[in-house]
Amino acid sequence: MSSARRVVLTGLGLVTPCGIGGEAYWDAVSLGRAAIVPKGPDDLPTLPLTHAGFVRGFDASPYVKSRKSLKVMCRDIRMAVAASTLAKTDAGLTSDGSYEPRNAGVVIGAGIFEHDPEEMSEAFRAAESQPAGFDARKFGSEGMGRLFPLWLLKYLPNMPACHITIEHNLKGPSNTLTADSSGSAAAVEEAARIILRGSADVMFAGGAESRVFGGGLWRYFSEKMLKTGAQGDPVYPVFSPAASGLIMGEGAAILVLEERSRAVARGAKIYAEISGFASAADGGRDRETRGAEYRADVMRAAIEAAGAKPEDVGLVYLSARGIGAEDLEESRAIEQVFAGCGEKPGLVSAKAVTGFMGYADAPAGIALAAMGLREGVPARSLVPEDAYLKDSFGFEGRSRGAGKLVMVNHFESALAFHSLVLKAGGGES
Amino acid sequence: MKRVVVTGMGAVTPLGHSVAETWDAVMNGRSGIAGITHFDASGFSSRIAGEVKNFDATKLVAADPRLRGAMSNSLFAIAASEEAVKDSGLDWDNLDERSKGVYFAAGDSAAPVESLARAFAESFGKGKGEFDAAAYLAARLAGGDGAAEAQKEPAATLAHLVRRYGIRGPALNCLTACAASAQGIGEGAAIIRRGEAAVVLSGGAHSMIHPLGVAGFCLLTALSTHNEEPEKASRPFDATRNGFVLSEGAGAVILEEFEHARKRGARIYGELVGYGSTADAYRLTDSHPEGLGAIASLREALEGARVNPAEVDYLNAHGTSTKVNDAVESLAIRSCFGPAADQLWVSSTKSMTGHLIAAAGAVELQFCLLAMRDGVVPPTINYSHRDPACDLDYVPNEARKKAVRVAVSDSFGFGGQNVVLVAKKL
Repeated sequence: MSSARRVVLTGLGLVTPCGIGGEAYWDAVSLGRAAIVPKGPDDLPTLPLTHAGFVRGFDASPYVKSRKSLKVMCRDIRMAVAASTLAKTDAGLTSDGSYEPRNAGVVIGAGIFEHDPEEMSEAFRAAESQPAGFDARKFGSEGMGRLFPLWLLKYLPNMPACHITIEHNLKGPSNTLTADSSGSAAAVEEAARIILRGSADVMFAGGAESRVFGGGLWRYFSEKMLKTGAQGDPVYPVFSPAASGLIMGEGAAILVLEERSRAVARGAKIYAEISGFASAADGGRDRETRGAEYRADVMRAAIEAAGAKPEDVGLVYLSARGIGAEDLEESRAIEQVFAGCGEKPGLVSAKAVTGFMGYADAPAGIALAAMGLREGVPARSLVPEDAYLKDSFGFEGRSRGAGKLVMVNHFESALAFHSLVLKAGGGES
Repeated sequence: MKRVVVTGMGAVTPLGHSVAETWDAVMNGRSGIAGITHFDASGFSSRIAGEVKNFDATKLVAADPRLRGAMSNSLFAIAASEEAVKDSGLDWDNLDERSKGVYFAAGDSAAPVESLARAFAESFGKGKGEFDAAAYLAARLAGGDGAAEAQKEPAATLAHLVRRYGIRGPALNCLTACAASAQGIGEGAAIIRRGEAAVVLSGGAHSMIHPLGVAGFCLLTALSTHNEEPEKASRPFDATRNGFVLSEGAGAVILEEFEHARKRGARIYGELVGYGSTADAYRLTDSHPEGLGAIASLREALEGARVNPAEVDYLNAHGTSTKVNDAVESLAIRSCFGPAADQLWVSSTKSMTGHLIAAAGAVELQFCLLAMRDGVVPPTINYSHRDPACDLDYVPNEARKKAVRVAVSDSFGFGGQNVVLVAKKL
């Protein structure tokens, strides 16, 4: 990127099935300890699902200033706000003076939040009629009053961002991107763009989603995207011929992005520099046959934006989420991009640890890559024996990432492909 | 830095199925508000809305079968985009796919209340009168419409646009409540300024005129209850205003890199020269009482445009017709414009269109550009009682002639979202 301004990651906030905070996530991934567990008797009812990456025992109250505000937050929003507070603390930022509110903002990826059916049940009971089933007039005259007055605000997609602006006094740009899970990859990129163009110095960016309770799975279920095969099997095969669909997780991942010179001046802990990124819509005329090529184009563009070459990349954090065609096309794209490299980058996938976390997935992947750069140890991967590119690229125990760039992919078929390149530190001039 | 112009526009609104129909109604001060017909709203405190009338998507779906099952907001978006692409004169299909981007602002779509009601009824039966969550979910699984569930996601419209318009440049959809499509246009223009696309399809589409949507806003006491005279219910800045009128529709614009447009001899409506985006960080439903967020976004947009307040000829207000918004917006305009506020013409076209929520900003930017083209400023209709808290020239009730070279469009949303766009005539 040609701008004199540069963007670094200084704070990571994670709420994942592995626990609260970045350390819990890093440890689980590093140890290859899957957090996909059976549904328990105390879990809320859900559409057909035997295993998921549940965030157990989650309580948002320590992470908000006003507990009253929790009343207008659904679970997804609570996770997002908690993750933002974790990120701010991790970044060593405080609301009173460590940033100018007007120069601080937020971009969040978020979609529809599943309504709590119990909360709506009395309103619908009042609107019951025979034989039609639903009487809209009665819903207005008798049912509506049984809803919580601020009910609508619990479920609007832009509410995580709005709560975060209020919680941390952010008065700069605020945006919410709804492009399925690619929306939060786009959110991190847009936040970086906002810093690069000088519209803010500090940005909170990421996403949150919880679709493991209630009817949240409905969409994936109806689109036949959930993992098939033996019920009761917690193994989530990704990036392999054995891939057979999603195992869901839930969570939130919010990152603090900061203008580099400002971060250096305040002595901030710098995880990584965002040195390049690129995206493209999946709308090409030949998309059915050229999916790998389209993905490869985006990866190359991100490397070019970082002013680098494919051989400079030491690790690739995979998008692969267990959808057969998607995973195969990503593997082919990686082969294409790194075809001329003598030493291939290592590959990392953490999906089998947490499950697919929807809007939290892309920023969690970026956070993992950033932690890996700081820890100096590439994360391990839980992938099947027959994982694509296992022999030619490799997954575990490689130290090829040292001193090199890392790439994070997030590909959402039919919407958009995103690749982002990180480099270690960013504190040097 | 590349420059960005608007070369195409399309609209589906309560006032018509095209930009020309909508603009004609606005110029003549006609209201698009009437009693709700989408469902029996007689039990609601607000029973009026700006519905899109007689919209028939049959031809659209016949020409593109993958639109079968698409919700109304996606169909509005496609209809408006078809008009905008055609209006731009671009040879769209032969443009490099990677030079085309989309930054839209489509909302989620109607909740399937009938299937929800069936699931609740099942749950009460199984639960011996009590809500039974497991029975409710089982009933949804057995009797619901899975395809509809996917189509009501806010990303569904974006997926339709990406596919239909063969886009391989950046693709985004934002949803920042009532500020969304203005934000989409501001950020869409930024894509072109960075050189990542030559053209960007932008705008917004939304419909919340369904029992849950209307209930949600009624509970927030945000909607007008002037039910007896629907066409007079939206009365921005008038002392008797008591809420906004919920509307539906879409507005689409083609944003184009200036040199790209100039070389092909395109008709240019205007240049986008300023964009401000701020957060109030105050409360979820209330604007900051001093309008600080609105003032900051106005200042950012004007400074970015290098425009002095005195140079602004017309400001299309957010002007929702709620007590608080209109007073705070007036205060913010006066604070930002200083003495120039006395000469500024401000109008709220929501007095005629109602509030198109995510689509509002796009349609209102179109009105700014058409005011530039025609030298006429649209009115604020239903204005008859002066409110001391709203002390600007709101162009009451009748359009007025004026050469407009610089226009500003305000869009503010729930949660303290503030977006301002500045457009300039070339």
